[in-house]
Amino acid sequence: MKDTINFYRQTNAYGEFSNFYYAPIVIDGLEWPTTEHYFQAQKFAHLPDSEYVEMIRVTPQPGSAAKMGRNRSWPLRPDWEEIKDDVMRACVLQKFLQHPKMADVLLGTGDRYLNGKCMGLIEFRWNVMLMSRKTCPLSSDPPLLISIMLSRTYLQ
Amino acid sequence: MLGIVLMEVRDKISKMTPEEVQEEIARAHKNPSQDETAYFFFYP
Repeated sequence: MKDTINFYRQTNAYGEFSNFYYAPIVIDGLEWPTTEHYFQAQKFAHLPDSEYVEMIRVTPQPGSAAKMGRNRSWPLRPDWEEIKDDVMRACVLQKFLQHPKMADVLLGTGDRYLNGKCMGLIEFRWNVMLMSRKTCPLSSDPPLLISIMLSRTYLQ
Repeated sequence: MLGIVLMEVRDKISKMTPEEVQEEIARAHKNPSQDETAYFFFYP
């Protein structure tokens, strides 16, 4: 069985494989701070007014771009399910073509299996509870309902 | 999903010549006039 490389956090080994990693790329004549920014913005590229696409492009954080991409106040492009894989392939390819040092890291993985890990549900709920305790120090119990609601949102 | 895409990209880059790399980057730098000319529609 081939070795597996797991990656998740941008600051850890192979963090540059994450879509949240800051590696500006030019696609369609515009600079995108991360592949996450480009991917999320393409959900709305069909709209005649590209204001929301531009708002996603210039938002500073990739996490904000992801959140904006889930906003359904603006309609999702109708063919999104059919094209989203190609959108991802295109921006990830460009990230590594436009950043040769990162391409060297990718090629250096040989034929090992690459696995993008998500934050586990237990870790996520634990973080939420810690945050809740911090913001509600007088509460003896963590606000479990908030934790469950956020976890459910995270899994969607 | 991302891991699979990365493995696809790794395979693709390993087979590209320097000229092909430059062509692909140049294609992405073009500013499309319509959405249908967006880069991802012509993903190689």
